[in-house]
Amino acid sequence: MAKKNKETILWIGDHAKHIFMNTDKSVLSFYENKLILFEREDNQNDSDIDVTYLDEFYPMFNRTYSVKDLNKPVCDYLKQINNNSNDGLIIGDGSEILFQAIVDSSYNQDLTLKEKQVDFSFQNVEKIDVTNDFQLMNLMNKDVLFLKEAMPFSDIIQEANKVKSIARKGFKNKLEANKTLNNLNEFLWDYHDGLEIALQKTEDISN
Amino acid sequence: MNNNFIINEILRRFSDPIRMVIRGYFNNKMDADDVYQNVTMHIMNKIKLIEQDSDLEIKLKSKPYIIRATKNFCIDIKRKQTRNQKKFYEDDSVFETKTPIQNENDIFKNFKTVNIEKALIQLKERDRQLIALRYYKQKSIKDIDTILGITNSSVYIDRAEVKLKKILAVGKLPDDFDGFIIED
Repeated sequence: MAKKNKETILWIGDHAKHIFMNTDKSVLSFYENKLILFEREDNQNDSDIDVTYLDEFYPMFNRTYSVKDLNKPVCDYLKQINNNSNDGLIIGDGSEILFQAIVDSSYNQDLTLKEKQVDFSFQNVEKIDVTNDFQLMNLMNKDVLFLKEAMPFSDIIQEANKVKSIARKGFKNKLEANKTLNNLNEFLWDYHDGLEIALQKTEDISN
Repeated sequence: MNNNFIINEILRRFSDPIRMVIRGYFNNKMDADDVYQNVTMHIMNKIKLIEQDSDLEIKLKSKPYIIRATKNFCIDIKRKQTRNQKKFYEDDSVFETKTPIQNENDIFKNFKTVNIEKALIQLKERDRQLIALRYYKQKSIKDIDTILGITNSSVYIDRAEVKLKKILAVGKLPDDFDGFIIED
């Protein structure tokens, strides 16, 4: 079944940008494409694409490059583009912390665990404000596509696998490119025609 | 495949630990920068090698490997320098952390970064971008002109500064704002 409206694709991180730049413009024109990168490469001017640099969007004077510290900036970004509750597709590499931060904000296991502990504890236990600075985003209407990690280090690949397990609960459909790709032409043509067709080209990790 | 995005991710994750290790060996900024560049090149080469030999992949854990490689580089260069009987000089400015530009007109003077952050989020995105490029990334006016494709960005930066100062000094602060703290 063909989709009528232009869907938004959020390309997260450097790997996604690399794929985006190699993807056919004609297939990209079917979608509204937004890119978010952590930082600008030296004096780079990407005026022809809709790209946001997180460290310029949200200057991080006292934040490090970690999932916890990137939570607030990425949530602010998602709120600003008012895209968090709409349909659409998020594409990224699980080994990139920027992408991990977005997936983590869709469903944070630690946070849920703490909430449960408080809920089932005795009355005398004071309720802890577990949210603090941490924000959860509702991304349940979105699909997520994990690119095949190009990262050569085993611990970072393990990290990426943990992120995939979080994505199972935070997104509508979770897909994974089953091989290293240089572009997503084929997948995006199929995704435009319908998710079922696109699924044949990717590995569904929903179950 | 172009591996630039891998090296970018690695350096974002580990540039601080790498610089810490190098600082343990070298006080001289020039030497330290050289070692940092060498480490970066070494990691890039290793990534290429790993791509060709998939067996290497499972043996490597990122942080221990990168720290070890950095230490080895430092030791190698130290040995070479000792042989050449080079003299080192102390330079406290090695590896300055990312802090706003410090000068007498510094808009961040007397304000803690946490409060600056709270004020910054109230600025428009363009103003925030200008402040970030100028003070956080310490780009020159010319570079900012090129990056943003505008001319006379200094004018816009001045305006953004005025807005920021206004927020920091008089109000329009968020409800949860706990007041700015003036440092001694």
